[in-house]
Amino acid sequence: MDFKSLLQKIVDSVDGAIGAAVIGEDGIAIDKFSAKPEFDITAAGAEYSTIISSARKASTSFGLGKTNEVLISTEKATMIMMVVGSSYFVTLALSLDGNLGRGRLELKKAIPELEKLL
Amino acid sequence: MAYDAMAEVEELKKKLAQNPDSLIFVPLADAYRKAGQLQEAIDVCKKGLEKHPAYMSARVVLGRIYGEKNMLEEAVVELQKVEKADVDNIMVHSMLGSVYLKKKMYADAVSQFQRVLALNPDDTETQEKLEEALAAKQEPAAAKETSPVKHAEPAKPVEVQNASVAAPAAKAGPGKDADPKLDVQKNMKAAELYTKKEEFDKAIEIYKEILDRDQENIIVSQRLREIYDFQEKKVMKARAKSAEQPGKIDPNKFSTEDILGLMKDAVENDSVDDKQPAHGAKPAEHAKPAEAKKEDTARSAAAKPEEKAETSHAKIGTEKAKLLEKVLMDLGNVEGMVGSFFLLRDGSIVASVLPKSINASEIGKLIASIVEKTEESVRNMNQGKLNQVVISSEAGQLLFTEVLSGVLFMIGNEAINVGKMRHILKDVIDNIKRVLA
Repeated sequence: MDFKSLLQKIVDSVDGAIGAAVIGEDGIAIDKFSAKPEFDITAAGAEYSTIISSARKASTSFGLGKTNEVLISTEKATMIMMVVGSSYFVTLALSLDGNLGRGRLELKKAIPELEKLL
Repeated sequence: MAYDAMAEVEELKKKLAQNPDSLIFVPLADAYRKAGQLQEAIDVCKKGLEKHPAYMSARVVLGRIYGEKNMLEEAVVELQKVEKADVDNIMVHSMLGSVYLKKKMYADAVSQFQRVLALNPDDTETQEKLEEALAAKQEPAAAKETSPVKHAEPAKPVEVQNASVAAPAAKAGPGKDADPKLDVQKNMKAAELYTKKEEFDKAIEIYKEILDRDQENIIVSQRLREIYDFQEKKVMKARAKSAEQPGKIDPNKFSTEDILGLMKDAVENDSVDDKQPAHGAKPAEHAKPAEAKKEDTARSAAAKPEEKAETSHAKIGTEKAKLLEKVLMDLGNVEGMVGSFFLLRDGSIVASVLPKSINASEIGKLIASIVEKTEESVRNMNQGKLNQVVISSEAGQLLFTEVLSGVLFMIGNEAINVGKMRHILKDVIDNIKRVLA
């Protein structure tokens, strides 16, 4: 299975999922799948990498070790980011009524497969 | 292929035009790079960096583009900036290693590749590059080694389980005309295997033996320093895990367990808030110079938090601050909750339940900056207002959320999960709103 198929599988199996992407630490998306074209996952990738970087700083400041996951809720959506390997992360955007628990579960399940592909 | 890349360029150019302050200049620069338009890629990146000079990912991309354009000096300058800001950035070490290799700066390349492997030992591509750099580095060194004494004393072979690489060195045997360059390489490989297995003492022993024979081997010296660092980190990690008694806490590196222990003490003794006189009743303590406070902080990390961390009550009024602290104190009863604080946008902490060993003012500024950056990113994505952020790490969770004019920040340990953090949050926000109303 390639990146896009895997991302599509995640989006298809989570109620309210808007899009998913695999993004490098440098903010460049390796691949993406968007269920709603209005959600710009490429632009989000660059911004997400900044957020991950901030999260890492915060974790380090409190001696909490390596950051595994960041969850962001905004007025319009919820975004889950999970670290994959040492330089990548996978992200899933959900609508406000999306199934957050299922989204986290599907991302966790996909991580070993993504690590293989990377 | 070029057509696709250019289509992406055009699409990203439009998006950047719509939101010139966004970070989309990075994907645009990368799209230019993929299209082979390296100068355009550099221009876009440099222009974006004028607006976002602290955006390290853009410097990584710029460094990569410089590398591809063979502007190696410029690549090193950009990548070193990132390296300074983020010492564990694996991508940067890998790219720097490759650039140094191109520049024939083999010792530096080796050092960078070793850093990559220290962070990700299974990276076979980097292992190959390291071998290439080591071989290139050893060539001139081997040419210098003409002393018959050195040839007569090959490196002592090292036994490593499953480490077949050590065998050739063993076969050479004393007195044989063994190749010292080969011995060094084989023994270094053995040492690396020991390092991967975290058997640092054995790795150190091998490196020391190599250094006994070749005191000027800067690669081995560097590696030895790194192994000592790894060993120290391992010890610190083990100590942090087992340190359940406050008396054993390292004031410079307290863990969440340490903080939790202090918080529990505070809650049990009800000493953080109730037993303390109202803020301002202890002018001598609050009038202490910053340096003295810092010393106190370090010295008392293991002590009971007889006082709460320094806060700026005046900014919202002492009464409100005390009520807020009461709300935060209630959080201390939640299993897994380590500490919490409420801060204003300028980073001033107005209420906190933290051990005094945490420098509240330093944390406040850092958190305010993190919140601001996150909000900016959410704005750039047109996602409306930021509601909350939960960060899950190896040893705990962090949560922050906007509440009226300030930000509530909560710290949980491993026992607390994302769902619990979010569940608790609702009541706490309501209570804070009531206090601030």
